[in-house]
Amino acid sequence: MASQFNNVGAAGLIPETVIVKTERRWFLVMAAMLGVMLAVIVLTGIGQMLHPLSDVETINPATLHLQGEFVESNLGSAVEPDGSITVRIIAEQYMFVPQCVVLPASTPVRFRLTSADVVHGFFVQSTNTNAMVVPGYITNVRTSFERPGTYQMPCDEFCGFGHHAMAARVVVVPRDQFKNLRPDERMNCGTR
Amino acid sequence: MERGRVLSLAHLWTAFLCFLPAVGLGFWQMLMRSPLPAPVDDPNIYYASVTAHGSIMAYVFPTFFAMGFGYAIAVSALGRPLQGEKWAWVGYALSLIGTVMALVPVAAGRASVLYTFYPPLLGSPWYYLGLALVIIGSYFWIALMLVNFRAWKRENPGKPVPLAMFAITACALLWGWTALGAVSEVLFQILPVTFGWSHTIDAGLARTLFSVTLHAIVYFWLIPAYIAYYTLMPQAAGGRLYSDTMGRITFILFLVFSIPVGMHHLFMDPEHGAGFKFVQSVLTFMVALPTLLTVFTITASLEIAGRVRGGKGLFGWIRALPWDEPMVLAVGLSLLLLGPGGFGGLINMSYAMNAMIHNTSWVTAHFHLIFGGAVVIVYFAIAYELLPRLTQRPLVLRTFSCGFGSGAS
Repeated sequence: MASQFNNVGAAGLIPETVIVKTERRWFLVMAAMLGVMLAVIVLTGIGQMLHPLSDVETINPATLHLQGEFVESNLGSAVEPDGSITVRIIAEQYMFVPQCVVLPASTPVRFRLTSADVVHGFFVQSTNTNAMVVPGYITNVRTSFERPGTYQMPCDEFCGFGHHAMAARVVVVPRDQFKNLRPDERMNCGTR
Repeated sequence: MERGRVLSLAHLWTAFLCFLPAVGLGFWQMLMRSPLPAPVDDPNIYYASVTAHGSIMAYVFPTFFAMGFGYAIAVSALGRPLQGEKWAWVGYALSLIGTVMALVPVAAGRASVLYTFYPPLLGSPWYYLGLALVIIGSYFWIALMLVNFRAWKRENPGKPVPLAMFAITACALLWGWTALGAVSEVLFQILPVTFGWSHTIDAGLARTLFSVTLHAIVYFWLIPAYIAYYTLMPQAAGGRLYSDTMGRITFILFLVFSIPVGMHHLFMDPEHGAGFKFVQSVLTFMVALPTLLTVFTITASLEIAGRVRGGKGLFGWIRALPWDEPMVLAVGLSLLLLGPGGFGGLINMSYAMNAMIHNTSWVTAHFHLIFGGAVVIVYFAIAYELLPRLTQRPLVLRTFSCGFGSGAS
């Protein structure tokens, strides 16, 4: 088995200059292809603000229920002064709180989630709303829903033995059917 | 020489014997996820099974395979007996003990945390200790690859090291560096908590450390397959490697760019900002290049072989290739699967576009195309190539290794 790995190059079969030329051409074509893709990322990032979630905010997961914005009375949908919606949700083994949120269609929405225990996933089916929920951090996702309807919102990251049963719902209603909330009022499917 | 063969064989057999139950579990998991009826329908067993499947396929199988393949290369490509064989057996024993130590608690359902660990989720400490031991065992192999590389260099000053040895040493160095992420997560974050010495885990830091391992590990799996592409396939096809230089550039690019690249798994995570995520995206674009270069060199090498064998015309050389050679067939099939796998990866790594596919079955399909499609198929082809030489017996029922009776030749 002495020379099984030791190859003679193609030099005897194909002129060295041809090898160098074709290789360089392929290299340039591939580099150009990757360059174009990268350019698209940069241009859509600048022009359309297409970024992955990027606000790094930390929170103490041990005191979520005692103080701060994730106390129970503050969870669910809230209307901001500019008319946009903020939804606060806690993910925990094995449920989301609240289990069902209501949103108006065609309105800017900001989801703010955090975890009370382990890592969970936040995913609204048939949309690109998709992010990790990591204990100690606040997941801040901006989006908007154009089509009214009920969307499933399963946990899409393994979080323990009950993971497969962990899911919530997002109910999107036409704008005129969305209840007018006071600034301090919070809403979910149960309080609709 | 005799003993060097036993060393390689022991590693390869351990790798494939672990592979067998893991692939069976994978098949059952597929039934569980599909509309087809599954014999046992229990989610807790499913999670234990996914943990066993992932741990074996990601850590145990490729590690034993790379070690065994590395020793075979060191002996045959360098043409000298392996230095430090005793230490190789120590590494083998540690990795084997680690494998058993990790898989027993998984089978008992006490470590269903998946091979990606996901702390603050916790399993039995033996699971983490076992996997750490598998990796520690492989560090003996890394050291031995370097020792044998240098010994050959000293005896052959000024000559380039054979490409296969060059590449397997790059693979060993890559693994040595990249494994540190998961090892430090286990040693400094998870184990202290499972033993009760500490009570908190920074999940963001744990995910970051793990991601250091979790992408470059793919190149650790892939490099043995690439070695077969570059060194075994051209001979098996009856041609020549198109370009040795391109091969070396490929392996160096892997070594350099794979280092921090795994954080692109965290594009949808809240613990990194946009700037850092963008840098990761750019680095991942860089690391796509060696694979694209490989596709060219290997296709060109296959074309040379086809033309040497009398193939004519634009595509005639494809028919002329010896498709009944396991290595040629495996490389042909693996390129077909590596293609869609790799192009799917271009979407995964594209920064905000990741949101479309993050945590969906798309990702599972992506890495199975790479691992099952390219890595495993070529590992099997390498085994068909190596076993007759290591056992000094011809392959029994050789034609079955290609899955059909007679090829195009």
